[in-house]
Amino acid sequence: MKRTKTQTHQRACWQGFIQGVAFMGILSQVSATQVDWSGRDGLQPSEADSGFTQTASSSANVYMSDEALVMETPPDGGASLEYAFSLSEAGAPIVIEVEASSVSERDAAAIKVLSGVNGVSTWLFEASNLRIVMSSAESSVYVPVKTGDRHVYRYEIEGVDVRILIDDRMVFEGVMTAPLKTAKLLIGNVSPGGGSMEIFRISISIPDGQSEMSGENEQNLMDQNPIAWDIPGDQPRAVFKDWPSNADAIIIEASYQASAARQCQWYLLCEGSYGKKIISLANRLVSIAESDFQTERFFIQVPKGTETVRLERVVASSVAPFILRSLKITPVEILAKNEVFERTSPLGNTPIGQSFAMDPKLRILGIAVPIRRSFDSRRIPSRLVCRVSSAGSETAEWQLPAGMISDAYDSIAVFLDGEPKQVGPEMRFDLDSGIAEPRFYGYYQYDLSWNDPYPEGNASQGGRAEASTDITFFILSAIHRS
Amino acid sequence: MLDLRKFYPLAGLLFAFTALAEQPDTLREIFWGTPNFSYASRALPPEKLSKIGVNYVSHLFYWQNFEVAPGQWNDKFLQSQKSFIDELAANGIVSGIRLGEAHPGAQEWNAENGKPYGGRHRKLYPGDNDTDERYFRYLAFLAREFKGKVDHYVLGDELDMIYGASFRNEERLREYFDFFTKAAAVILREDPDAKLVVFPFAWGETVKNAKLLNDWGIGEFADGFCLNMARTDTTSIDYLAEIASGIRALSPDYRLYSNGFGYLSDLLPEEVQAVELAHNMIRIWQTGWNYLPYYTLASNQHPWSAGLYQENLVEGEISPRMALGVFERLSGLLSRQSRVSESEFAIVGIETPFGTHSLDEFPAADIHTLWQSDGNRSFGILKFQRSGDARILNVTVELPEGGPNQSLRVINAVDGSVHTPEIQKDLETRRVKLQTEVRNEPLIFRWIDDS
Repeated sequence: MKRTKTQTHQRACWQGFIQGVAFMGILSQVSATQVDWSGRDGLQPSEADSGFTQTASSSANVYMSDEALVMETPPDGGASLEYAFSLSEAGAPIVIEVEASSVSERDAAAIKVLSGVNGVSTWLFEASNLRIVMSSAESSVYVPVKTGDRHVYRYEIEGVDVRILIDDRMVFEGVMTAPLKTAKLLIGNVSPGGGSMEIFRISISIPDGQSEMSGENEQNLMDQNPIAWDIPGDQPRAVFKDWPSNADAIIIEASYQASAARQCQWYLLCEGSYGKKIISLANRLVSIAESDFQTERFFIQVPKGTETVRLERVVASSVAPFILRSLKITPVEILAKNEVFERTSPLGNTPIGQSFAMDPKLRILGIAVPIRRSFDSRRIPSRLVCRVSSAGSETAEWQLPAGMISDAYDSIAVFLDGEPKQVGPEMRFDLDSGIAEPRFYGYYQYDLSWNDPYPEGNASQGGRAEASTDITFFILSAIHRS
Repeated sequence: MLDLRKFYPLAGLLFAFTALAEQPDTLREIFWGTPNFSYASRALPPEKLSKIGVNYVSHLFYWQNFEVAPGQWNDKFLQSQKSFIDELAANGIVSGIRLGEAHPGAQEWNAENGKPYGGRHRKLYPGDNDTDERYFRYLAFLAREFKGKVDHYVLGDELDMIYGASFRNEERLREYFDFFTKAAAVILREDPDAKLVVFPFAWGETVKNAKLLNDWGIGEFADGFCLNMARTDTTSIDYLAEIASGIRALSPDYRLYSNGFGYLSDLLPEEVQAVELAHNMIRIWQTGWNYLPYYTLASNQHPWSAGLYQENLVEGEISPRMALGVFERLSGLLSRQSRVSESEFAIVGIETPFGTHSLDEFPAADIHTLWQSDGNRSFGILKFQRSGDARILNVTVELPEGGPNQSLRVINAVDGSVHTPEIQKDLETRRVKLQTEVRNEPLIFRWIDDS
């Protein structure tokens, strides 16, 4: 039975996407020893109580055929299934099988197992190949396969090793940057480009003993997926009730197509014991082509005592419409910060850094550093690198393309990781613009104070510590539902 | 909701230009200007400078250009500079001379660093024969030749940055104080009306440096202090305000000079540069500086050539840039000391999808309202706190009522567009309310005679 688009859309509201309470409920379902879903049962994965969440834009058509879930999407639409899981031990073996077919534009139909940028991404590519990309590598491997036909794509992951088999034939072996601890399986049309994808069967196997989570000790609590909500692009408003009381700030990650800066305005109404407070922000990045989706991250501090957050967007009418592909809301706790700044300073070819002590029990999700771009990112494709080290050895390297950092005064570089990092007791982060000749190619501007407002830490420039100086920064941790 | 873009008739543009450019020189208290790099006079000859709102030029003089060898004066160069300054004066433009050397520390700098200081001049300075006595003779020469032509001389050039003369090295700073005292005596002997400005401040703890100099008695001959203002300095109004109030606390008579302000990156889009210039000018105006030459923008194509205008190096043509309109529009408007009131011009409501909210409920709105009460020259400014704010906020504002035959005009400081808003008058409070948008570009509110 084929469902109409309207029916499907109504069902897509199943999870109460407007109700934050419902989001939290979904995200607390994190692991299972064996998940088997088959289209022959006639239920969509999200209806089968198997832990999948389903997202679809209003322009997508998602329905059950006789034996498959069908996702039909126009070039500017998207539809996907997501299954989040957690392992009690990093690198534990996982086997995932997806039986599917697809006739979609290039890079539209995907099967991914990812933790942040770490993991494996594959696309049923132009009906002719399986395109495979490991972790953050930019080069692809193409395996010839008629993706329009029905095949079983099998992913065997253990430690950092990944093996991919198609119909029991091994076609690829690769290595991830780190073993998975938590990850998401994502299936669907999630990139620009339209087409159709049929999913006949999904099987997720995590060997016995790997899936139980007691939640009783701090370690396990930290390993749970952080609270975060994905809002479909066609939802103009959302309400987050039961807002986590320990949230100090929100990270908003918006993926959009915009013909101009400030085409879309977002308003947040925070309500709590203090009354009401409004916060607003606007898109600052611009697309140059129809397929050019920008991803922008905002970092917003929210008042203490917030109980409910309401989000609403207002889009200016324009010849080229504003298209919001996704909006991810992540409440975070600020573990350490220096929000004082007196001067701005150019970040040229000499890295800047900040060191300080951190409780070794804490794990960080990311770092937010107010920083602005003083050059045209389309002319100079710089990547801002943030290296995090603990007791002298590097524990993470995060990158942001210059295009994700705006020239607006309140621009902030938000470096995030899918897997929270343990960085204490001696933590430092260093920012490197990667621009060799700032005079010719431009620079970023960061904020700092010369009056040592954060005595627990020292700034450094070019490796030289400056005890009286501190960079303006925020160290963030995820928030978990207890 | 009111959409400003509907109100951009060309006639309005002309109106705004005329209304804002009309500023009697006698009332001028702030001198917006430009440094006199050689290309500038080619690009913008004096008769054009005054037309674009510039009434002040800061000339950077180097000793070796005038005295090419001990006792050997370059008459041709001297005459060219005198002619240029005369031509500026004939067009109502004030000249100040920034002396590009800071003598005593330079010799030691050479010894300490094992190499001569090239500094701002391609010829090495100082040479073995460049003694204090010779330098004072050079100053006497300048003062004699430029007597009556020059408003002020700036002594000491960024010496805290280059020669380490600051409160951290009090002995060195004292050495400079003694040097300034002698130099001032030399200049004033030749030109008793000349004002003297000391410029030890490129960055850092400016007020601490000024306090030491003031305690030693620099106020007996110095008219004020000079400060560098790069882009990073003008980002925070607090930084500038703290220096201004710190120096004025030493003596309210001290005037505040700038070596230059600007240094915007030419790697940014044109509109971004123009908006930032508007915000910078308003910020500096608020903090009370008196002499403000505007640095042209640094360019990776041709350092220093971009900014208010663009120079075609092949054709030799000059074309105005977006920033020029901002400079022209605001240097006339902001020509008198700020006497602003933030309560006269108030935000009474902000429209959001959740209804109308007060500023108390929208603490992060970051909107700045200023009202300059100055008789017929009163005006208001509505803007975000800092440039580069991508938001658009719909607000209701309240401001003082104008005269009986006056209409309110709202002028976009960046593109010059103007409109006449619908207003609601409150006869009891003699104030008016109107709706408008707050955007990245500052808006100017003025009551203009209907005639």
